[in-house]
Amino acid sequence: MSKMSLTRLLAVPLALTIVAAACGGDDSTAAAPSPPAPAPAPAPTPSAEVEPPPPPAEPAATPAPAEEPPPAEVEPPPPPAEPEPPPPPPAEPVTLQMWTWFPSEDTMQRVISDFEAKNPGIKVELTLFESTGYQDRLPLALSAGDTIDVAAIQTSTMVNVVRGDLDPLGPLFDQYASAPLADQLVPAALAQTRVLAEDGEIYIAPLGFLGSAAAYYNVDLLDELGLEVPRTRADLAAMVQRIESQRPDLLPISFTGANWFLDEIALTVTEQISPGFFNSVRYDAGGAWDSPVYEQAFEAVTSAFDEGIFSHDVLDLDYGRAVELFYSGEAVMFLQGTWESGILSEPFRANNGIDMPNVTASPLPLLVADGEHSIRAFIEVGLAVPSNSEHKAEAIRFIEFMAAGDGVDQWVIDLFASPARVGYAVPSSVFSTDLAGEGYADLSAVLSAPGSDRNNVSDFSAAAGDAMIDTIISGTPVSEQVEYLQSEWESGRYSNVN
Amino acid sequence: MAGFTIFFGPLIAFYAVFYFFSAAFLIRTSFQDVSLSLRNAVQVGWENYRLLLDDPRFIDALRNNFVFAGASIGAAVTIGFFIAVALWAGVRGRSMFYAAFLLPSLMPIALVASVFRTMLEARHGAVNELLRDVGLGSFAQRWLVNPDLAYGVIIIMFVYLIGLPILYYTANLAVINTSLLESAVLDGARPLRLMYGIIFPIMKSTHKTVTISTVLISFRAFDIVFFSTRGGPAGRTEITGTYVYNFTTSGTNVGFASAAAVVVLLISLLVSAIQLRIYRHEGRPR
Repeated sequence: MSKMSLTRLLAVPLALTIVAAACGGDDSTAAAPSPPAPAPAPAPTPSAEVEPPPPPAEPAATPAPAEEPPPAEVEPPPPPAEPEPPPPPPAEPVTLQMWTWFPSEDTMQRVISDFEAKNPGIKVELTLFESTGYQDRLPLALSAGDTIDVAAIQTSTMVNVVRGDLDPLGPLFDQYASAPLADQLVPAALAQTRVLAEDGEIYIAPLGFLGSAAAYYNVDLLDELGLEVPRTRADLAAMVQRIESQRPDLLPISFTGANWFLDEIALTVTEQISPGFFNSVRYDAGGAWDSPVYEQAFEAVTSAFDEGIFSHDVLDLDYGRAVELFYSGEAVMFLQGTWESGILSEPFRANNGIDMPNVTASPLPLLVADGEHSIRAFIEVGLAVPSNSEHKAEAIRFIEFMAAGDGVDQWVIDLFASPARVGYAVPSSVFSTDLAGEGYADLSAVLSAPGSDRNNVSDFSAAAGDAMIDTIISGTPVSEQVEYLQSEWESGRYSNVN
Repeated sequence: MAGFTIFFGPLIAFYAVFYFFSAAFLIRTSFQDVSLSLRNAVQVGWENYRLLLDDPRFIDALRNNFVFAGASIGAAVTIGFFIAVALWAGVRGRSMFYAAFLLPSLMPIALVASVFRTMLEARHGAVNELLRDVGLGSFAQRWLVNPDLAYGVIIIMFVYLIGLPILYYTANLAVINTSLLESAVLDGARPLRLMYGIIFPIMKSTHKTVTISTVLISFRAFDIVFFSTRGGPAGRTEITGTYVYNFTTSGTNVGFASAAAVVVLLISLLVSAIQLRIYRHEGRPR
């Protein structure tokens, strides 16, 4: 067979497939361009280079700002409650299959060990994935009927992607848990959970809340330089100037210059200017990217590079390097989400070999003149029960333990999220210094009253961040960029379209 | 017939599953609005293609593919050819040079690209540190932030990975008819004249192999770009591979990413078909 006829041979089925595909498949629903189905999204994985993600949300749905502040204040431990009788062990030993991507294996093993000790007859087999791989793998595994009893779900479009394979949690909690779900998690968490599913059902029990962007400080370096935690843009500029003159070997402010994080900073600034701005765009409630609020925030961030407040050197730092520079004492300040609050926890630092005893945190300093400290926050790490699980009672027992029971004590020391459990207060023993505790309380204060949901649209975040980078490196006018972003938002290419 | 089945059956099955099925699957989903769970797909006709071809970033990514491919081919048939001939001619320390040029092609590209990225970091990268240490700090650059430099870095990486073309040339040089060269030497031809006047033209078939393989490799150069610049700054070094990856992992509509993959597949097939056609014409006896 000649080369040409081979090419023709390949071309014919290819062409036929294209025509057939264009005409429609048999298991698909009707035609008409319509809502892009949801998709996966990363999570508060510190090493994830892809932006920690966005959920879907009914466009017309009411934004879901917390109805009631999530707890997470720093308080001395409450007096021990009346010990509950241990639940009866299952008739037969049961091994639960749990899939997750977060938190770390060490943390999960602590939770699991404690659970197994308090629930004889139930074992938990953990399968831990890397963040990006997990979002690809889970939907396929669930639709293929793999045996999973407890699945951690990213609080994003992922809920809609997989909800067809999950059981609603409300009835399961009513049947198998010690109390209804609504009595165990704060209303704000439940409200945001409902927003994630197009049918308004609750499919996940979120562990807690997290927000972005926040600031962390090496207090020893601040003291050495005679500096205090900056609260405003002017404070920041003065801080950077002093560091550069006294310790030019230090990077004043370390953060990843990846597109998604620049977008996080800009969106935090929009909330400083006008709380609720992001919700107004995200939920089609009258907001627009080419509005003066976003233009001002965009300008505030990009001009911070022009003015030397932010160094151009961060633009090629990836997440890991930015963290490394801060942990190694080569940077005074570090910007990232509240999922990096573990650095405030003494046990977390000890477990991870971080030698930085004196650290504190604050909300992102005000980058605009007339603003208030704010943040965007959302629930994170939802636990769900797949419909084909054969151990739903035990799965609910584990979810209750981890999201609203003693398991919280095991993972809270990592401070990756502010627990959604009703009435929970982070033990003060977690913090090695008063300043660390105060910093966490500061963050918790904004986290408990966020300006908007951190219900990101990952693919659009990348485009917005790239537009900012373009302005920083090429000087493209901000007005052009915001118009471009608004047209992109309306283009239909991104996951904001429902 | 039984022998044919035994020998070619597994290969055909492999191709059927991993190539034809995958291609058909991609084509099918490219006409759908569907999530990764692949449930509740909605037929959207050519909408994904319209959105794709309307996106200037995709067009830029395609253009970058061709520019990087062109740079690779240029480097392969000049630098690669020169190195192969020089080594074949018996340069001292030949094994060491072979190792130096071939090693990068044998290492995982993701690793090579990650090392490049770390070395080129503006603040603490080895390249800038070295320049500062030897008093050339003014030459230190933000290699991965300046769009032109970042573009150059990607091209340099493509050039750095020319081990495979060198291997092709070396293999062909081993069977070259040396009587032609001997005659030329007797006629007084100098080394450069020998290289470009005689050896280069008689290795025409190797140039074709090198060109096709380099073009196809450059269309799959996802790891080079992703692990070095990640397509940045601001998408300036993005190629179709990183474009598809980014939309697959951060978007909600897998159909859109599939449409992008299908377009890239069709372009690759087209490029290969054009090349094969050209070579077929050239190969005909005149």
